Amino acid sequence: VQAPKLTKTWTIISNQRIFEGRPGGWDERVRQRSRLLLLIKDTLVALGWRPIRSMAAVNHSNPWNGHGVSGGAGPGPGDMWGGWTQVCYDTANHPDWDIKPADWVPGSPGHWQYYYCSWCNLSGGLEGVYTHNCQIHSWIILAPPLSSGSHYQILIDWASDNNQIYEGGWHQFHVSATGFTGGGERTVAPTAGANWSWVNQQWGGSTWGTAGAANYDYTVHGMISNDGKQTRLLSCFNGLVDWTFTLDVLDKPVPSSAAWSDPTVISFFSSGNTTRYYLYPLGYGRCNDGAPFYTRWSDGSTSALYATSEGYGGATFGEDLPCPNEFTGAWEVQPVALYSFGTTGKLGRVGTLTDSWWAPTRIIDGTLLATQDSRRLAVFNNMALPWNTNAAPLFGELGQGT
Amino acid sequence: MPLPMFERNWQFNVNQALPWTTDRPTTKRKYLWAIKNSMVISPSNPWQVVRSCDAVSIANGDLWTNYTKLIWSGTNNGGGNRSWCVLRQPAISPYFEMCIGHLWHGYYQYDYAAVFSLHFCPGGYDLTTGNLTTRPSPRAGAAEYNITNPSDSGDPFTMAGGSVDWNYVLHYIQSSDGLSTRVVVCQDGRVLTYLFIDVPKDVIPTTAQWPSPAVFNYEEATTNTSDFPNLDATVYNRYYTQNRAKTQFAGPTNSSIYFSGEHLRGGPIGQQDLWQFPDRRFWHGPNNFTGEWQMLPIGVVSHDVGGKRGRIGRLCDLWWGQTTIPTGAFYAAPGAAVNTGRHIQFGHMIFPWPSATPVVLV
Repeated sequence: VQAPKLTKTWTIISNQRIFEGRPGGWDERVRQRSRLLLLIKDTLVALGWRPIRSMAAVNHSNPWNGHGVSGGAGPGPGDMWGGWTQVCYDTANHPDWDIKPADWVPGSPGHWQYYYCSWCNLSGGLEGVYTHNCQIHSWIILAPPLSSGSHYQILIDWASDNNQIYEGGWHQFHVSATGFTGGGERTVAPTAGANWSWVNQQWGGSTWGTAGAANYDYTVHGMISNDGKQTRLLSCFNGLVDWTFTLDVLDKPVPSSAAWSDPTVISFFSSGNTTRYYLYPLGYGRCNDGAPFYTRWSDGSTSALYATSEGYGGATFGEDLPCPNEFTGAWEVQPVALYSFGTTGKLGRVGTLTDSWWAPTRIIDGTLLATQDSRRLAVFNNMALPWNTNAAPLFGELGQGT
Repeated sequence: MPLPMFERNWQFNVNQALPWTTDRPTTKRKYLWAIKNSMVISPSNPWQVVRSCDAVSIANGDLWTNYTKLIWSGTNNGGGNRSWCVLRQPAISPYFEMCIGHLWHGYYQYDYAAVFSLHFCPGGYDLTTGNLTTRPSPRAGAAEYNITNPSDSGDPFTMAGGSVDWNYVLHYIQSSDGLSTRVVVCQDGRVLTYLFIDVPKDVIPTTAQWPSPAVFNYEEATTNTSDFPNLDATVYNRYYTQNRAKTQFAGPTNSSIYFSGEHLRGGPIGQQDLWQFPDRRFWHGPNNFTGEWQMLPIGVVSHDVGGKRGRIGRLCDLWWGQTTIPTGAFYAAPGAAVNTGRHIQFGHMIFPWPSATPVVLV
């Protein structure tokens, strides 16, 4: 297809930039994570997503290393993430100034072999206190616009797990088809109903932490269709698409409504860790050779979905053809169909992504393509998505942050 | 969900029995003659024989009035008179022509064979040329596309000659508008040869860029070479994996063509090999949600360098099927009380078929 036709009107929040925090240091890196998570949440809200419940831990102001969490507010209904200082991860290293000899604890004088953390009222040996984990942290649940008809929910959970100091915390991004309805405390986020949730633990943790050798800016793009059925979210840094989230309520699902009462497909993927520069979240390798889309059927079972493309000669069209169509001079894009594969009884094509197209690998990130009605598509990895401006997308290149 | 409607009207001359006769050359001259005859007797927009030779005389008309008029040259191409025939399909373009020629027989490769060559000339032949030993030349500004036989290192075709005495069944399928001609010859349950001349739908190049917008080829499922031995002539391996189809753009510039299809995990969906996914054997069944077997559109892609690359259209009323569906199987809408018998699989492709006509494959 050349100059494809968009089927929907899109609201696009593009090129939102944040600064990595030069001149650097772990303190700024951690704060940058707070800003990024807040920006992702704010973007979703601006697109019409609804904060359902949240917990806002409060960043502990510390003159030495900036890490630490106080009790903060919540959990409670709605959006309690008022600012980046309320988006915090639990730390294993509470600040030095809070670690005190245990004889400072009223009633426990003279026990110098014991220490005490004034933030979480924990006492013990020096090493244990320094590495303890109070588990208070920020999390938030968001639901898609009511017009989408989808029952899926997102949970952004900055659950500290390991290497927090060096890698900025282990962010978790969960999606549930039935909602996060179980529990939910200051120290633990709610769990998904029906014990069903996907989590991409690569997002954050070691993934973003590997960027620690240098400081980068981030760019976040958000897109939603006018009826709320399609949401795209992209986080970019160092000139790359680092992480994507897609929610698509298929407009023409193949399975019946009885088999698929909520025809929502989702995908969230980071570029990976040690091979981050080769695993593009929206690349053919990830989405056509692999199956990064997920859905849940009416009977409660789930499937991974491949994104198919037109192909020939042993590869996809966009990988094979090294140039624009030489008869017209225009680049060609192909529809993105979804195939359920691997679950007995749930095999076959289930639909097509709305207003998303496979793009040629020869087109670099950020290239703008024309549509039939003079709107624009922007290329992210190997996919072309709706775009709303003549300005090319930014990809978190150094120096673009504000 | 109903089966797809045809975009063109179709006329059929199927299940033509071509039994083995006295010897291989005789059998195969009947084979070639039947193909020519089928092309010229279609009720609507038939092909026209515009020049021919019966090894005795030459005329701007059809001298191939009987299979005995197909004369092979001397043994092992030893020279002498031989027959040839030029057919025209003006529905494609005013002088779109195909020539059957170069007939000879003898021991060729591994078999005692009856050999012929096939040539397309979208700009037309000079109908004042050609003699008792040589086919006509293209008219000024035109050029041939010589359909070589990749199974035999580019040499002419052997008419699928083998070491056994075969019976053939010829299925002729042509659109009423003359834009699609498909000849499927079966033998022993498989697609032995496939000749097609097809004007795609949704053509992208302009008329100036592609004055005769047809793709064409002749393919044999030979048994005597290492190139797809015994594979049907209508399979993914030939047209999806390789660019075995042909066309000619303005210039004239000959170009090879791929037939594209829906792709997943390194290959076409209909050909996902079981050994790749041993735990997913149900993949080769119908869509679990609808009960429908997949019928996938076939794109037409030019990939030759020289300013002729890109998707140029899609084939009309022809679909990719699944490799697990056998040749001769009919497609029916799930739950339909009557199998309409209008969609039939040959090799890996799904063709139009005359309703309620049982297919003969042997």
